[in-house]
Amino acid sequence: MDWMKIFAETLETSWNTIFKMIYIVIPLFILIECLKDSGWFEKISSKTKKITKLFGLPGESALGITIGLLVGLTFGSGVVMQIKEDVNINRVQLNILFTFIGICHAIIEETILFTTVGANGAILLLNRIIMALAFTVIYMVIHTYFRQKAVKKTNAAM
Amino acid sequence: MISNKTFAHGTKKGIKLIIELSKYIIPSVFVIKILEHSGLLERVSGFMAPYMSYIGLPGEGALVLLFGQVSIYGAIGAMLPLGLTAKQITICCSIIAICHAIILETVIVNKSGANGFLNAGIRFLAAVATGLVLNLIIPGV
Repeated sequence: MDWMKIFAETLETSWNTIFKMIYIVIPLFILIECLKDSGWFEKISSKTKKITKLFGLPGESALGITIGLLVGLTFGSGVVMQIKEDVNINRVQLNILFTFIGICHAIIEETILFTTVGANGAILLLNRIIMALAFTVIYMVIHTYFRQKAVKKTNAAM
Repeated sequence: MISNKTFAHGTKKGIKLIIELSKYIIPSVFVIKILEHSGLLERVSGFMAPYMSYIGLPGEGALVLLFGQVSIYGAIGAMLPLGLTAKQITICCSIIAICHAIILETVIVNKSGANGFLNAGIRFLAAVATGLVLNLIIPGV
């Protein structure tokens, strides 16, 4: 094996990408910070209330979904943990929320990073949102089916 | 309110991410290059090719998906030296976008009170579905 060649190729490939990302990532993070400080997240979370209503979640969790969706899973779960202290939210609702957020989170940062290496951002984003909605609905349907079955069983036993 | 602090904060976070990215990208590219030069990549690729063809990826794609379970930055690094086509990159990125760093994120989800393992399972299924569907609907090779 030619180690010098391996080192040279590694540095060349990585440097090209990292250099390209400096121009994209820093403005992006400044933008996200601006949105955070200008209270835009609170404003947009009134829009995501529609999603929470669709999934039967308390309206207060809209902020958690918004932050998770736009910033990241770690931040989102932090917000959800805060919300949990004020609002009554059960385990099934948490599962529904995290199915959605787990599939579709940090969409700004990750979409842009993947577009820099050559992926089609529109397909990436659209697919992710559709998959998140679809699998959340599938989880809800399966869960209600099994719960109804369990209820019937206990009724029959009585 | 937006002030100078906002910009300073954003720049700092951006630089932090670049450093974090470099930490993952350089080792991933290095590992893939070693595999490539030692001929191991070809063997792994030949072994995985029949399974990966369902989701429209070459055999090497399996390694990218594996690196993605460490971090998405690792997957980006592993993707760079392989020379994938535009369709393959889009499929690969879509799968990793849905199912990445699964161990770490299962821990996060568990901590916030939901069922992390259920969550990981659903994400894995969604990733497989993504691969199958996108392979069919994206035109080209």
